[in-house]
Amino acid sequence: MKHPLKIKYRPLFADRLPTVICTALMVLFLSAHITDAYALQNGVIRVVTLSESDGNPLAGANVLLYEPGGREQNAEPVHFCVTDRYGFCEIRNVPSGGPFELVVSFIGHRTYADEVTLEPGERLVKRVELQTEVGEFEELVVQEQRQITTGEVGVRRITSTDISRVPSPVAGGDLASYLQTMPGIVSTGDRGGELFIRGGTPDQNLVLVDKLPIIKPFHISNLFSAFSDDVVQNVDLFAGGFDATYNGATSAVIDVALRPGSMRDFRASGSASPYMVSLHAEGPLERDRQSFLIKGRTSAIERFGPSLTGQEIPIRFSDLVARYTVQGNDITCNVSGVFTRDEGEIVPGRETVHSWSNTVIGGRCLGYSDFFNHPLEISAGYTSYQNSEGTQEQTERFSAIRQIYINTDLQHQIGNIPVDFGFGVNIRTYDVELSERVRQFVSFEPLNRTIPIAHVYVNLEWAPLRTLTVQPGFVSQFTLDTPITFEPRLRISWQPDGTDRTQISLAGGKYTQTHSGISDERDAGTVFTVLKPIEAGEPLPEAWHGIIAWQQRVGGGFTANTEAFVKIHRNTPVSKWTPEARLNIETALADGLTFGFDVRLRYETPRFFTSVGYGWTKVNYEAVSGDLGAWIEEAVFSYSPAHDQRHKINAISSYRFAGFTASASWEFGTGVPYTQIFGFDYSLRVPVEEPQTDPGTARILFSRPYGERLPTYHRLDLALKRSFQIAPSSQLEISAGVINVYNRNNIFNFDVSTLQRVDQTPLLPYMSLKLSFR
Amino acid sequence: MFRIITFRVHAIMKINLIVLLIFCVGIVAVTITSCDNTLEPLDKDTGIFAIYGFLDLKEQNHYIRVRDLNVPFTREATETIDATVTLHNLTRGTSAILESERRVHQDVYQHNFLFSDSVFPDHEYRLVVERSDGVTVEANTRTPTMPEPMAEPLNQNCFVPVAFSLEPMNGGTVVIRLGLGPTSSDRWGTRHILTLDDDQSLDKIEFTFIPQDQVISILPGSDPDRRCAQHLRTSNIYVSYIHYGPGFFERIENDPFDIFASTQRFGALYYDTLAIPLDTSRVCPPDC
Repeated sequence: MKHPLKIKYRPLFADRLPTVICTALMVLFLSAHITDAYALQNGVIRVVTLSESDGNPLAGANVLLYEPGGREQNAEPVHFCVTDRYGFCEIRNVPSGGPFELVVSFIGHRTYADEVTLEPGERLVKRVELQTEVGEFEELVVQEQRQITTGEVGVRRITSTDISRVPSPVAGGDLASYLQTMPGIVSTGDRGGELFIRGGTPDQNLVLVDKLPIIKPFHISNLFSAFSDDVVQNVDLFAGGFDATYNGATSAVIDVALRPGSMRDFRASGSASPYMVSLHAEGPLERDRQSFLIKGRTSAIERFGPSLTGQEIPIRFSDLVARYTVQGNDITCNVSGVFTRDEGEIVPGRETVHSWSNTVIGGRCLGYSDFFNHPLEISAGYTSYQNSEGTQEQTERFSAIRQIYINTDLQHQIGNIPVDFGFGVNIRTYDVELSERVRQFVSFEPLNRTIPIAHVYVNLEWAPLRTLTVQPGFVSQFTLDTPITFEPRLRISWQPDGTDRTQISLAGGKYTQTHSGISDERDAGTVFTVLKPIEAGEPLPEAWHGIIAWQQRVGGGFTANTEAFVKIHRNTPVSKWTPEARLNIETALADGLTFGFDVRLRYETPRFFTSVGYGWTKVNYEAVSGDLGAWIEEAVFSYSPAHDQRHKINAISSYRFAGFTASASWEFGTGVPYTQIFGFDYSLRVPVEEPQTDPGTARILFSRPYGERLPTYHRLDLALKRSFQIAPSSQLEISAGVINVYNRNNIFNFDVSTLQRVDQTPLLPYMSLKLSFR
Repeated sequence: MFRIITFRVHAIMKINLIVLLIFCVGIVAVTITSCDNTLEPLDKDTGIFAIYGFLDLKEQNHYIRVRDLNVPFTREATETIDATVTLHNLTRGTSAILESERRVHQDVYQHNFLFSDSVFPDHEYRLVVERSDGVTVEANTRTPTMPEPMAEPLNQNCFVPVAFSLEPMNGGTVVIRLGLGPTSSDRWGTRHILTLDDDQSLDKIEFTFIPQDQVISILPGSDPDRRCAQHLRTSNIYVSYIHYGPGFFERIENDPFDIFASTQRFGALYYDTLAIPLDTSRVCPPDC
């Protein structure tokens, strides 16, 4: 029987559309004409910054425009911008005439300077190639070049270098390993691929790869994701307080930018370790214009794990990441694809097989031709994700989501205020199927629904003072079933001395999502999640975020960062608890309050790197007891969910010496809440069933939810690697290391099916080889 | 310039060394203090024994199953049960220690405790299950009154209302069903749950029905013009009823989310069936 469609058609643009949206958009479009007239007297400079080494864009480069001689006199630049992931940025309202000195700088690259002169109304496009610079000036260069930031509160920009510093049992690092070293990010252990960010659940996170949504790119082994260090250009992790350019998530955003393939030379590599084998290739299809990058990996731990650890590791996973890039004189496009596949037993021996897969394919283009008054970015694609749970023979539960979408992002300027705005449509199809054996316990019919979701956003970046940046904005989402949302956002950054040596930032806003993911958090041994839309009449899950951050940089290498945050979640659907150990698709609505703080210390020199982080977080949910079905007496039940890890400490260090790179990572986390077992029972329905004739029904009963905490967790990983030049164009990298050096028995969960304690990865020595050609 | 840089480097190194030192001390302290890596998956303080069974006033043998909730589903763990089960008659002041009759199901032993004696109506009983360490779980019940059932008027046609009643009651619930024959293979209607009104001074439960209406409801879709007499082979309509002791029915119909209550299903009851004779020769309603 199909789920009855509950579609209520509501007028979209009549009485229910907030006036503020119309007003804002009208002001925006009307102002375009005003500023166009203004722009007739002034010019526009568009800069595309590329790396000389491979012809690829440099994201985060500073582009500064000085009066002639101003730079030598340490004068303030008259205009500036920071390049985006295309290496692009735009300076508007540049007075005609000139000349001006255009300076482009980026960490580790030689600074570029040139003189520019603009005609009235001219839109000048400059392509700048920065040469790589290495040597003892590196620290000073860093100090000088980090002059401009746009507020880093709640944001952590992760580079491929950062990722590669975390010891990993394969050649190179992985984003999944890196993320778990950050305070405020909690995983359920070393398997399952679930990440909880500052109190948010995995379904409340938005993961983007080249702006394409991907639901769960993390592998069944939590050490890996689809994103290894050599395919990642950078990752922006918004642990909260993200701006209006992101929508559809109430907790966090992980925005991954894939690295374009080299535009200058061909490169290939292959690596092997007990965990995984991989192949990678990239190169130009047309020098400086078109390139490709492709990388495929597949796990090997199921085969080699038993001999290394003495335990069965019945998991299999693989991924394929590909990107095609084309760079024109005034347009940059890319087509990206990510495919992942995971399968295996989260709890060995339970004989419950979990599987999930992602298919993401899409493209985007940024046009910045002088023909356009403003840059224009269009992205479109297809994403699908499915996850299932069952036995080897039969799938018992299945849930999938498929999305087709098109988004348009535009840039504009009102006076001197840059404005980002855009809109998009996402056609989302949900598919849920539960087998008869399961369905007899739960009141949930199969679901197959297609829902279009539209959104608009406006995001301003206003700098009333040289030292102050204010980014107000809003997002609106609308579906056919749910009310139109209005989500105001605000980010403020203040640099008292005009540089990022000291920075105080604030971020906050309202966040709403139109779907939910239901899983049984009481059982870490299951990661099956039912993804379902919010039905008509149901309240939308929403959150309010507030973050305040202080960042202090001392010299060129030491940085201290402290953030305090609060997240208030409302209408979060949580699986209704049943006394018996099983998933219930019926939901209750919980309100959540998360607050805490992070401290990160980081010291970096050309040879040495160390980072220490401490996070304190408290997550509390409240729900009406009757709705939850909890065995409790209070009318409203207040509890700490399974991802409430109170204390977390991480330390990463790496040191380069004599051609070697040694790295170490230590993690410590206090225990997360779990639910004890009330008892093992054979339930008898007396008097219909009688003790002497009927056996009853075996059932394992849960006690008061989340009443206890697991033991503390800590683990030390070490790695040592060295590269050898074995031929002029080929290099061999050998890595060796140990996961869980002191063989700590870190608990994963107590499996109620097998009645056994299940521990995480024991001491695991490894060696990996990577052969590279270029 | 060189001096300034040198000073900075020294200052940074000093800060870094202090941080590193604090961090190392922290690691050692935390590692030492967090050696306890044990896990107690069972909530042993609240989940102790499950009790399933009932005292039947019309039976001589009464089986009560007791299960140790902390014991997993294995043969070894269930071979014996650390429990002494005693049934007290609080009204008379007597008690009996019950013996276990073990049975195996799917390689797991189940322990049914037998009480072989009469159970008296309107008596207070207490079942005490005691573990060797003195921890006990108790379940109390009061047996129903077991009055003589009354039905009147008798031998009327199918259109005359009949009142079925039980008196006296001591609380409790009566669940009745009406049927066309005395055996379970005969057709029976839906159940009616009867409890005392709020005003319990009446001490009586009564259910009034018209036989013709009941027959039509038992045989939905049958020709309404067909007289009930044509369906009643024995010229009787039957009332099957279960009389539960006070609170027992509520316990077995409890909220499935009440974990503790769902493992404590002990009470008292009796079953009976009453045949109510009808005059099936008279097939017309009173006004025909």
